[in-house]
Amino acid sequence: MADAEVLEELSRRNEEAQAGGGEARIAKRHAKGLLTARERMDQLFDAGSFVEIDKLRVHRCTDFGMDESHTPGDGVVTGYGTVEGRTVFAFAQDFTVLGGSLSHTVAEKICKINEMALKAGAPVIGLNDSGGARIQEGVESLGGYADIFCANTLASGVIPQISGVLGPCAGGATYSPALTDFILMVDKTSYMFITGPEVIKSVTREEVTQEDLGGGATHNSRSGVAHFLAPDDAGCIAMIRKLLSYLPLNNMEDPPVVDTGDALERLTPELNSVVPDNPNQPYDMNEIINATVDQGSFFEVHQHFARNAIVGFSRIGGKSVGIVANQPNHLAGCIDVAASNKIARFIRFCDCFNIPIVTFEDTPGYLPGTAQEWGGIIRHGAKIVYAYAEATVPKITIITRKAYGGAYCVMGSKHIRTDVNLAYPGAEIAVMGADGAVNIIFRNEIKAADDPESTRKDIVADYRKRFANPFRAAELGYIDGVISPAETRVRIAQALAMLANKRDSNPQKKHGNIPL
Amino acid sequence: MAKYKVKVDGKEYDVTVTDSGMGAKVSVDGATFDIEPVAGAAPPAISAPSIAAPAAPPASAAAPRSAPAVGGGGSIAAPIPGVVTQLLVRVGDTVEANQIVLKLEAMKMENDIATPVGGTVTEIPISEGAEVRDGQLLMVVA
Repeated sequence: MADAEVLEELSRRNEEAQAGGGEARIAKRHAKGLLTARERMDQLFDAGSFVEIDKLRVHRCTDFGMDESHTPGDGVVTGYGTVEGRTVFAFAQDFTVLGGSLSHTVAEKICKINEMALKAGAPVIGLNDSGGARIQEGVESLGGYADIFCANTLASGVIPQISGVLGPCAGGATYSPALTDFILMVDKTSYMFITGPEVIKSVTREEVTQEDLGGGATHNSRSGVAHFLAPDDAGCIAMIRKLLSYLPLNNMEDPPVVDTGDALERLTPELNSVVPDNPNQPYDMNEIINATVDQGSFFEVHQHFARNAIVGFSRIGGKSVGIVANQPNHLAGCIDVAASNKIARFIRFCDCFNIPIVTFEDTPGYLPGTAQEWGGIIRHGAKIVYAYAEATVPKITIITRKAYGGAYCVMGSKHIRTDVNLAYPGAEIAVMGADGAVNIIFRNEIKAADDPESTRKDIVADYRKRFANPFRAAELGYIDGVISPAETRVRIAQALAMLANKRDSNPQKKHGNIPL
Repeated sequence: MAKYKVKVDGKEYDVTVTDSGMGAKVSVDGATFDIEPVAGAAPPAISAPSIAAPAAPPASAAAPRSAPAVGGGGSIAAPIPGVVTQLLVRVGDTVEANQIVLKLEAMKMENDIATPVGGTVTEIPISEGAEVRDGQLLMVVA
């Protein structure tokens, strides 16, 4: 038994660590509606489960009088605990300690839990809130950042990595969240940018506010850097817990199964009237998704970005599935650069972590235009093909209406290793829309006709009857069946059950070369 | 060609942008500027006497999608090139946020265009049947 003096010393050090940057700074944060690093950890983990490590660790800088000032734990709280009973690692940067600046010690603490998490096969949650590099430490601080980037990269695809941005995150600091699987930002109180408004003004003369440049709303809607927008700290942490509920702890594990109480045999007759007869009428694809999956289980990712596509997690029979869909209600559901990136990255995440992919397709094709072509739609659009073709998880595609041209090929077609392909009776699977096709194939006939316009109309009607339907694809085996919308859930559930033990692999390689 | 109204520090400017493929002519309240994108991240070279932040630089050729025509929550810009098939409100009408205000046919779809904010429709610079460009101003709600 240690003597009383040592125990007293231990309790003094623990208290000092617990106090972080001191009462005054903590009060200031609370006044702004922000939580401290430790409060955030308490909300993230199941009550009483958080185990802090390196609580007494200090920075080692001696320049600029830094040796005079030490806060045990330095600018980050690290440790592990349980979320819904499952092991999770986390770090929370402490803004009250030297502005949450990143010392080499802070970096070492973060890398340490990363390493532990890799060995233990458990996710890492990063709660970012830092003014940037610890300038007094110079290149040691920079080295610390790069060490974290390397750890993030090596852990990618092995354990889920989730970043909450709950305060400033600027310059090099942004790359760690960027390398992780998902970024959640808090509205109005967080921002991310490589260079801030001051530097931008001096270099390009553009004037922009911090919020417009890199606030939560900007990164959730414009840039797509962030995947989720939370109203406040507590909301952000609740979303992280919810996100974790869909994910396995590592790439060797299956996702958790939750009893949702929703029967797999449940028919979906309400879907019989969702897709309009007129192909020019939009509808909300969310109705089909929500009716199909276990009730209330759809958790959308990238909700505000590239809204012409929908991606997100849900459950069918209590098991996690990744949903990928076109959204006819926005930009006609066409595929553009932003939607390509959104879809491809989500598919790759699902494939990393053994989450089956269910695709709902209704797209008129790729968005035409110079902005798209010069923006590289060829290489971005190719990512969708690559991601689907490479994925070895169970894959199911339902064509609800339009599957035209290149979009037919890329949206989880049979040809790129989709396991089960189904279509609604009203589906139009063809190389292009009737008007376009007729104008090309029958150009001379139409021109030579006595009444070109009525001839054209007749041919279009005939073409639509012959090709704008799912039957040609069904005859060729490109789709496995034509189903009534009322059977949507049942048929997907049956396919998922059939594929539960699916084994598939890719040729041996160091890694592929996805068109980035 | 696209016409915009740009508000800088409370003063409103009429801005016309004519795209010539590799550059643009920008006219601000009658004064014309030639704008050429310069390689790299440098700001566009403006070959005319400058006035205070006259207009947004032309969208860079590499930008995946052009920015909305006018900033501010009350301006509705075309999200996609197409034809305005139906105007569902008139100037002076009161609208609620997310109300569908016009239909824009594009990609063979009658796309519903909603207003992001509620208020009064103060301007509709286009008419039914108009062909609009990506990012073109369709309506102002204040």
